Amino acid sequence: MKRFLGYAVLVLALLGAGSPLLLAQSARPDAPRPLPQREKVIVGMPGKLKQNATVLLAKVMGEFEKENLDVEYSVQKPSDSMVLLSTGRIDAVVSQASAGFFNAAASGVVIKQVAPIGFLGPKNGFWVSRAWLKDRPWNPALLKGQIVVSTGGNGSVAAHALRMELDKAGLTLNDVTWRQMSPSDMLVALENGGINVALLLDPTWLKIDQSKAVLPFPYPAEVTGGYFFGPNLLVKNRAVGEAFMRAMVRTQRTYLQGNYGNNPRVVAALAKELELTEEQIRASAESIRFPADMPMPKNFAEAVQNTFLSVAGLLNYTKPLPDEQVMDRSFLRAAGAGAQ
Amino acid sequence: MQVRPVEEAPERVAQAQPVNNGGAVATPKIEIRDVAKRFHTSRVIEAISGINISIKEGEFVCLVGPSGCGKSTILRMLAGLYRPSEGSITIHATSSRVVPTATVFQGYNIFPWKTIEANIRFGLELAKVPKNEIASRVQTWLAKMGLAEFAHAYPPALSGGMLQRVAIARALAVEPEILLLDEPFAALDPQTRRLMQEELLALWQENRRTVVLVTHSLQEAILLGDRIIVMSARPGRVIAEFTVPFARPRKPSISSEPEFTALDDKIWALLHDEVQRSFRGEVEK
Amino acid sequence: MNDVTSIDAGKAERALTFEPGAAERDPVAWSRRSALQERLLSIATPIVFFLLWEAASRAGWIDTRFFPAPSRIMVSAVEMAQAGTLSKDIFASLNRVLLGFALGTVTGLIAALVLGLSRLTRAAFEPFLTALYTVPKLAILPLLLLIFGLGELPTILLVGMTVFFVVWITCMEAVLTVSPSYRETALAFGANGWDMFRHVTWPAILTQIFVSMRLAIGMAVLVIVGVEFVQADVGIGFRIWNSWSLFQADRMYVGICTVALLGYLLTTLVRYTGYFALPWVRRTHGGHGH
Repeated sequence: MKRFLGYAVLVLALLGAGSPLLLAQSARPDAPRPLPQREKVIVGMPGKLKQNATVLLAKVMGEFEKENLDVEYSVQKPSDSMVLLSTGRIDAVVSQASAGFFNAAASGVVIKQVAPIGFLGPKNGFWVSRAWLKDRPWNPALLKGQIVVSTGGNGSVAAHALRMELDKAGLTLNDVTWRQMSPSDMLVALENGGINVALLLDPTWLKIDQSKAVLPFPYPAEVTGGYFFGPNLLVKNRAVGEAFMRAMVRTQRTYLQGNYGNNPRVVAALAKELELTEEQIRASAESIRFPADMPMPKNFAEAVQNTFLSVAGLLNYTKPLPDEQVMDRSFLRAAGAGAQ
Repeated sequence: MQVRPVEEAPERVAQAQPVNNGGAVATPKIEIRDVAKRFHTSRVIEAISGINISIKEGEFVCLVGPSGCGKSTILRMLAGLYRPSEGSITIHATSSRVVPTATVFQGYNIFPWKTIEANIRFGLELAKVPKNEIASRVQTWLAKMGLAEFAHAYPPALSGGMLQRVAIARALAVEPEILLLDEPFAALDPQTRRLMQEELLALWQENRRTVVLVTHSLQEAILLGDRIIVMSARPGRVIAEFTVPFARPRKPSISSEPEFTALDDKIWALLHDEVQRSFRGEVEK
Repeated sequence: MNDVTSIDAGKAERALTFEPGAAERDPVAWSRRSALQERLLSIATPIVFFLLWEAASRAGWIDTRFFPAPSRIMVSAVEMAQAGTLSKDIFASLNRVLLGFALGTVTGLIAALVLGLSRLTRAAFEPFLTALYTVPKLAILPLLLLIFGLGELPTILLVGMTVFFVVWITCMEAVLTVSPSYRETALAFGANGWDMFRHVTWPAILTQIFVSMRLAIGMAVLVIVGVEFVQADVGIGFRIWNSWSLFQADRMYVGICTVALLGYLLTTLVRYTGYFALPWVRRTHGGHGH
């Protein structure tokens, strides 16, 4: 009898010890909680890039299905998708906290960044032509008077990243000239010395001839784009927004951690969505990273706005908008992520 | 597509018989020998065949015949616009101009982008006449044809009759050895036409150059011409020649003379059947 | 039967009188009034359009974030002019347009004359050039950048290409359809090749040359805006696109209005040049309506 009691106490103790774990499992904030009714969400994006892998995989791997969400993609130029988001024609957008976004928010449009997209890995950034740099060690002062080429121009977050480098030499964004070009033109021009500095992002940097160009300084990984919600998901239908975010957080945590190049299911899915070969996916698995807690740094919005304010004519206002007007971490928090 | 007629170079003319040697037979100004012309479109059209015509210097010859008989074709060959398919055409030229002829077309063909004065100047510029000579000749002809007040106007401001006067001035200003007229008054109303005939008669009688006139009007041919050549329906052949019995200088009033009407009837009798033949021929197409 | 005749009983016999109307009674005043009516209407239409737009935006019928009021656009235009950006943009775009236009017109005219007058050259080149005509010029831009580097040249070439095709096609057709009667007349007076060109061919096609130039200058403006959307850092097209992506709608409209105005001014300039270069057309149409 004593032995039976002993075992019973042991089992109870174990259960008791284990129960928080069990409860925690079932009460995990990012666990699926299907909506009572099937809801449709339209997501605008500039294209299918690896930075957006989270939203792409969430559909392919069935995570959105688990929330009873029917997600549709709409490929749009960033300026168009922002407008459509503002007017409620689409529900979410993959974009970045650009000058256009801040101007829209300032004019009273209800849109906010709710999550970051993939963080830019080591090979993304401002590449320079070796012909220009020659054998000199890198010095940010060299940027003075240079033409910097990117797809987004000086109203994009990449300008903020460059500003951080320029600060080291006491220069400002007004000391460089921005030029816009398509990625393939940029590649060619950089290689043959037509331009000296260009922002190469995934997958463009994969094709660069590294004997002709080099990445002289690291790009701050967290200066990246984001997922934005518009009035539909921020105000009218928060439950749908939260369901969407749960699926996103789950996807990122389940499929995009560590070396996802070893996961054949993920590789196959990414190859199909991004229209690359599985070799290419495996070879570049580290080029974009997807932190499990999807952080949105607290002073990010203010810092970026200050950068834009330093250039005349980018923003329509003079003082940075408060963080809560442009960033909304509540959806991430509801899903157990969103570190600051 | 420039087509030059077979013509004697001026050097060779110097060796030829002189044109007027006091009664002896003079070299014809224009000789058309066994000429035929075929047009190759979707099928072969034989416009004229076996044409033999000889025209003397200073002669005023009229070609009459039914529509499509090829009289305009002959004129165009004389102007150098077509080459014969068979036979040859020889023009004995004495001037240094590139072409010995000047043409007046039925549709006037006055260049709308030139003023009246510039149009008249046109032939003279092409013939590389010296500048002051050009100016004086243009002034003369503007006055002669009553066009002085329109000198700087553009063609759309003028009526059909006036434009044909311009065409005649343009042709005569170059003082051509041979004047070619292709139904020049056909597009004018009958009253203007009569007036123009009388004017042409007076002009020609001033300095009798060789003229070949193509016309449908027998009255016109008899009034103006020395000789009338009658052509058959297509393929055109010469079927008759008539000498006009009226002496020079003539007055327009000869049209009421009995010989005039007699000749008119005679030629018409010949033409009548040819015209009917040509009409039927057109329908059979 | 009685009923049938009674229908037009009232209209059977009447006297028709024709008397002078307003135009006949005072022709001078009437024609002056007509000209004035036309002038007023042509100015009135844009004014009414802008007034309606202004009213609609003030009444809130349209979303002023994307369709700002004309008054707001004017304010932006003044700001941009004072900041110097407007003149810089206009100058950059105008430069490209005019150089491209000149290049395309001259080459197009030469091609029109050579291909129009030479049967063999036409047979050799016309099919090939016609095929090139339909290739979208923007698709060639990357290739031009590759060959000529980054500078103004690719843009100017692109405008030049567009102008070339319009001028070449129109003018070649004009050369081929010069009335054969005029050519015959010139030949009958002993014209050689140069005489023919100087006295007949060139004046005969001059009207069409100006028509093609009017079309071409408008297209040049269109093309430059399109190219600047894709590849530029200064210019009106760039300003339009850039303002839109920065969510600055009123500046975008300044760009759009500037383009429209520029196109109108350039086209009118070409038209007036043609008007003065073609005295025979001017005299014929009496200067009415140009």
